Amino acid sequence: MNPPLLEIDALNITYHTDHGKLSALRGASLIARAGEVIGIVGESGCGKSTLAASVINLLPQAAEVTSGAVRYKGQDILALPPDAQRALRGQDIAMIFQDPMTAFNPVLTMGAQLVDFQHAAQISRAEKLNRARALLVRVGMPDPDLTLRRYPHQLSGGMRQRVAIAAALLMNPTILVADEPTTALDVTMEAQIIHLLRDLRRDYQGAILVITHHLGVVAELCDRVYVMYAGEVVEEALVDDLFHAPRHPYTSALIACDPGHFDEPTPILPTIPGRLPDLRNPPIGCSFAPRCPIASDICATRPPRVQISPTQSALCHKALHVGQLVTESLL
Amino acid sequence: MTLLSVQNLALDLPLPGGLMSALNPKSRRSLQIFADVSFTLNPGETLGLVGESGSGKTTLARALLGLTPTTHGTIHFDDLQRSTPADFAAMRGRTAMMFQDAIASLSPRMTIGALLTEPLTIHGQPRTPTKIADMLALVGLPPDFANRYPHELSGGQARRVGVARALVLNPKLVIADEPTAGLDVSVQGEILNLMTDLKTRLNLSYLIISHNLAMVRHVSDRIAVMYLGRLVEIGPTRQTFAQPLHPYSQRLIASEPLPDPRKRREDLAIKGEIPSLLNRPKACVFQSRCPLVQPICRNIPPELREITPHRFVRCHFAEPPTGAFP
Ligand SMILES: Nc1ncnc2c1ncn2[C@@H]1O[C@H](COP(=O)(O)OP(=O)(O)OP(=O)(O)O)[C@@H](O)[C@H]1O
Ligand SMILES: Nc1ncnc2c1ncn2[C@@H]1O[C@H](COP(=O)(O)OP(=O)(O)O)[C@@H](O)[C@H]1O
Ligand code: SF4
Ligand code: SF4
Ligand SMILES: [Mg+2]
Ligand SMILES: [Mg+2]
Repeated sequence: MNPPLLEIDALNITYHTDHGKLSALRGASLIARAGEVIGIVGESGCGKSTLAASVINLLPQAAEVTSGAVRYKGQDILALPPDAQRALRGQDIAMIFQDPMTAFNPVLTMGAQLVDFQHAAQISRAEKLNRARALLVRVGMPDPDLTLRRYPHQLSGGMRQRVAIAAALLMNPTILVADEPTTALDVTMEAQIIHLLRDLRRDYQGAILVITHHLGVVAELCDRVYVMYAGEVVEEALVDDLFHAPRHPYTSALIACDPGHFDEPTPILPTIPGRLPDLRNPPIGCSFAPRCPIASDICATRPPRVQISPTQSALCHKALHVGQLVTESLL
Repeated sequence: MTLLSVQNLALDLPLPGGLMSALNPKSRRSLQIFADVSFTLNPGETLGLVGESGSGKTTLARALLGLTPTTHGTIHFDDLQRSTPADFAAMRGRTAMMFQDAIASLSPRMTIGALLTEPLTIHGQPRTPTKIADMLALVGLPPDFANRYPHELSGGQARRVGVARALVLNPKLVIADEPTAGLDVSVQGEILNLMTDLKTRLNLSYLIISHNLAMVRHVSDRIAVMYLGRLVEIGPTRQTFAQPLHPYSQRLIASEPLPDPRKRREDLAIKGEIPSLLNRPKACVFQSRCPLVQPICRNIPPELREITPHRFVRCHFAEPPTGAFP
């Protein structure tokens, strides 16, 4: 097995808010190897974007890393001086955001921006423009020369997202982090982005981290998946095991709720009643207990991380016996 | 009897004027957003409207309520033709629109209670003392929510308030534009179950607009597929999903990512960008992306034809489905 390119190790991140400290990440760990597409799923507020921001070191001011490490090729990037971090960002680690509009300056043409993004490269302007053009072709833009002359608002959402991916690839990053890359797009544009990321994965030696709350995107695209709940990684599995043999009740519940998962129309869709716990005051026991269909007394104590196989683990007292039980109780 | 009947509806919007149009008003061009839209909606029925971003779904919904004037065609609601602003004003209490972004569409400085009674005030209707609590109970929220403000609600709760507000005037028709966009799957089901329950209890008709095909499939009796301002297919949901007959519907339904890695498909996407409204292809609107395109598709616009009972398709080459369907 390849050594990990990226290793997030027991990361704890706290936000300082007006209403006290909020534990957004609580001992989250993740690894990504070269050539892998990693999925990160969970409801909104579970900490997915905080995790992504820690990888690219773009945490907001209010965030404090209270413990843990983020290692890139073995080096703790959170401990690097700011300029070294900045060099890493954009060169080795690049990010694609949910709203591709935020990635661009509205008053500059795409060409000007794609050249500016390469400010660190020691090549001529003409070479930079050529490289930008080549990447637009690479991401399947139908008319790259016209695109270079266009302003962001003159492109459709799907096109903007493709240009954002081209921009992220400009510096040949080893790690590409995509935070909800298809959420703002419609079905056919989403399919185009899935294709593009699949193609990249084929010829790209880096790792891709895809954050999404759309399970269809995970199933079509990812090799391994981390499921997050209330700031913790509650399950880690190969994509096939995740969908066919989930070991955490939260994973089962998420899958059961997805309307795409029924072949026949169902008048009443399953739901997960209740809400995320208040992360200013996280529970001592299992954070999913108030919503868990199979919770019992033991769940008021901290659940263990149960290793099911070398590639699958779940943070649950009943991980070994979950399976069918949960799905049945939900329907 | 139908509740809503739309015949050959078309809508053009003026293009933002450049220098030329300022100098010469006659050169001012307009842009066709949709045309030749015909469909009916029965009492108690849910019609799902799907199609690519920018295909004209929201604009059509606004036109049905008289919020944007149409250029051509007729709208009948409750068997009366609606064309003047007064006609639409008269039907306003009987129709309601649920907007996409529930929190943003609620005024931030009004309490939930005030938001719920505002439609009554606007329409000069009396309000009973228990009205607010009744509306909150209808959508499964406790009475003390009346004193809260929109930003104090979760996404799902805000959506519930949006549903309650839409129902205050006892409408017969509710148009919901992306009712679950941005919600987690765990909460999405809650809102859809609520809408289904209310539909039965209050005998509502819904027009649900969404990109989420899996969702539309579960809540709609029939679906309508829009492409570049044309309805290209309408039919009963189950049959349409099982065997779509228009080349665009076929590709749209096949592009949906499925939540099962064992069903991964190599070829997901429709090739090519959607052409813009400014250069809408002549004759068949789907010709630039259609794998079956023939010379006739570039010369003669296909009509929306009833290919088999209850299934309407706008394609020269559409054929009845093969095999038996339940
Ligand atoms: N006031 C307006 N002036 C000019 N063009 C407009 C106006 N409103 C809408 N359009 C155009 O009409 C077309 C249809 O827009 P509409 O919002 O109805 O699409 P939609 O199908 O609802 O898309 P989405 O799925 O993204 O919500 C788009 O090309 C849009 O840019
Ligand atoms: N800048 C911030 N200041 C304070 N709290 C924040 C900030 N960003 C996120 N949070 C909180 O941290 C938690 C995790 O958020 P986030 O990482 O954005 O989750 P996700 O991406 O899974 O929706 C949430 O409770 C959120 O409200
Ligand atoms: S530890 Fe208990 S409450 Fe938590 S997920 Fe497992 S069974 Fe449910
Ligand atoms: S009319 Fe022709 S171009 Fe249009 S959908 Fe049918 S086959 Fe394709
Ligand atoms: Mg996020
Ligand atoms: Mg719309």
